[in-house]
Amino acid sequence: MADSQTVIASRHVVRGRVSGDGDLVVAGRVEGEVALNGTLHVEPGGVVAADIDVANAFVAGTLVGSANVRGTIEVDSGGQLAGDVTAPQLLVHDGARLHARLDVGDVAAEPRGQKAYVTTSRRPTAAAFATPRPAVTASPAVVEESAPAAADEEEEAATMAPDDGANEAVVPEIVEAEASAGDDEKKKEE
Amino acid sequence: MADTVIGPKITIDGEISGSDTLVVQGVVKGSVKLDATVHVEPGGNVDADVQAPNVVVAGTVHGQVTAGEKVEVKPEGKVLGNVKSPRILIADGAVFKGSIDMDV
Repeated sequence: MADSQTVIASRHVVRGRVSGDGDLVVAGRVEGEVALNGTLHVEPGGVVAADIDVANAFVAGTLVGSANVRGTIEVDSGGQLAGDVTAPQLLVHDGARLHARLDVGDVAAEPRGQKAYVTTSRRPTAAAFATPRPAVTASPAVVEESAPAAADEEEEAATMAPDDGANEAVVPEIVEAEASAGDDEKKKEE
Repeated sequence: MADTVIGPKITIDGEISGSDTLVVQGVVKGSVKLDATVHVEPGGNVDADVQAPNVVVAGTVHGQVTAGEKVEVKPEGKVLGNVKSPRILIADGAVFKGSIDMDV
């Protein structure tokens, strides 16, 4: 047969965890947890006071708890829904009563695909990080010390330039403003 | 018909109580306390103490069975546990491992 159906009759109370494959029709009361690979139907008069993790849900009765629905959750006109609901699709009929926190679909404050801000001219160049050469003093020993130091700096500058170039290549692909801000911070640390 | 039917691929881990008939085709663990008949169908598995007026076992029951009226174990049935009931019927072919107390 196709998906089996489990029915909890109107005068029954199940306290604990209901799990498995198939649909669950609740005309009675279920308290605890429901984890199904199927649809949860809460009949008028039925109460599910449980955390649910189901494929779909149809609520004509009362559903209270944390609901994680992988498909559609539909609240019929006589239905009541309370708790946290996470689902890709929510349908609420006129007359339904909700007291819930909903997480349905993605919400983007900015239009997708639009760069928040990236201009290469604002990126700090290697020159900004080069430490100034110490002034040449009269003592030759000091001059010698500073020469290798200067050579190191030049190497540093040289190695930084490719980094800069690499970053410039990567940045246009990054759309979020936060990622480029993170890159800036990384450069400052260097 | 107000029957609770627990489908073959469903597991209930907890307590079931109420006053409607219960038909178990899946798995029930915990406890069952009803004011109506409990039918454990072939393939059904009850790993719980059962308390009901009537209990009909055609599947497996692993636990204490206390019936107010009658316990019936069908040929495909298996009872592993103690039974307390004023009347008991065990069909030929049934499996029974436990004690029977009919002095309720």
